Amino acid sequence: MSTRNAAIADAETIALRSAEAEVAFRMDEDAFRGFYDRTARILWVYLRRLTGDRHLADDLLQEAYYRFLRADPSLENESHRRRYLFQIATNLVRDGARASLRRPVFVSHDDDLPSGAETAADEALDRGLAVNQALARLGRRERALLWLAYAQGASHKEIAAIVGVKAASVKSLLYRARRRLASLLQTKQKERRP
Amino acid sequence: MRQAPACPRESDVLDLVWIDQWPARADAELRAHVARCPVCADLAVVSAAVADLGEAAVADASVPDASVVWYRAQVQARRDLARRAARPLLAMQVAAALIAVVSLAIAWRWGGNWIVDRWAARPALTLSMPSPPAWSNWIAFAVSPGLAWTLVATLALALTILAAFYIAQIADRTTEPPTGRFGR
Repeated sequence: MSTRNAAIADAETIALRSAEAEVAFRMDEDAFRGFYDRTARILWVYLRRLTGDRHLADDLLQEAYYRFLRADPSLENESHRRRYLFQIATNLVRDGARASLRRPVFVSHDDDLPSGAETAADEALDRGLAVNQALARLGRRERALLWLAYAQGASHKEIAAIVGVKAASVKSLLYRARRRLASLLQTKQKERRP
Repeated sequence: MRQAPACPRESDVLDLVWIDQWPARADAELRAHVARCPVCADLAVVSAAVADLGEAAVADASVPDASVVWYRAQVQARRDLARRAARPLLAMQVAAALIAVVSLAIAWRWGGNWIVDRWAARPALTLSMPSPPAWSNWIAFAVSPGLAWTLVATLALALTILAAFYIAQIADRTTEPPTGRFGR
């Protein structure tokens, strides 16, 4: 059936039904599976950390991989591909903030963590909770910088490319974010031990 | 931007944090340095905290299977292709409708009178062989504005129809599953 003979409203349905074969992406399914298995968890955690919403992180994960598959930049190796994927993810979060999505972005729900320090089973969990709460009080860019630098071990050059700042600025931005988080953690510590 | 304070021992602290050995395997000298250096102190606290959190979060992360994400991406890609294919068709339909209306208006305004005049002035049917018209009559016929406008309107319609078919063919080609290098 040809789309020229069909109403425009039916074009989408026709294409979805007729295109039985897979749409060509820049990766085949096996290569994608390998790349996804190596990156999906860290990307999801990164998105979750930036958005503070696990459901939004789920949606953005799908969208980030879709855009990654559709784009055709010259990516030489795994490191470039990873960087590009994180760049897409960061832009998606940023675009979401600009467009003021229906759901609130950048509000930390931390729905998978206990709500009070008294419920923490041990000191590690208690400390994790404090770090989570302190991170949630930082700005999106600060969170992204700290997460990329210390949770993922990204270099300053990689961070600059992903977050969209000048490489020369990363050191000072990271320093300020670190300073802020350290002081928030100190405050939390004082609150816990009056 | 103001230069951020830096310390040459930062990398020593980070190296230990990366292997999850801060402060366990730090020597007394490095620990003493971190205790008095604010840059390294912040770095040690923050990097260790974020690294621990990251490790735990990645271990607990629950993501869909790769095949699910792949399938959804395929569906989304087809939907986008269909949407993109429908876009020129819609534009072409609007353009064709506009051109058709304008062409008919032009043909009616200038061509209509000319056709009525010509019809009224047609020669009566006779059994005798008519003499061929003079060259001047043919030239007058060719340069009459009515004929020119009728031709313009007809040409515009013909071009619109051709363009519509051409764009529809492109749209069909776009919606067909590509068989490129990575196609399956």
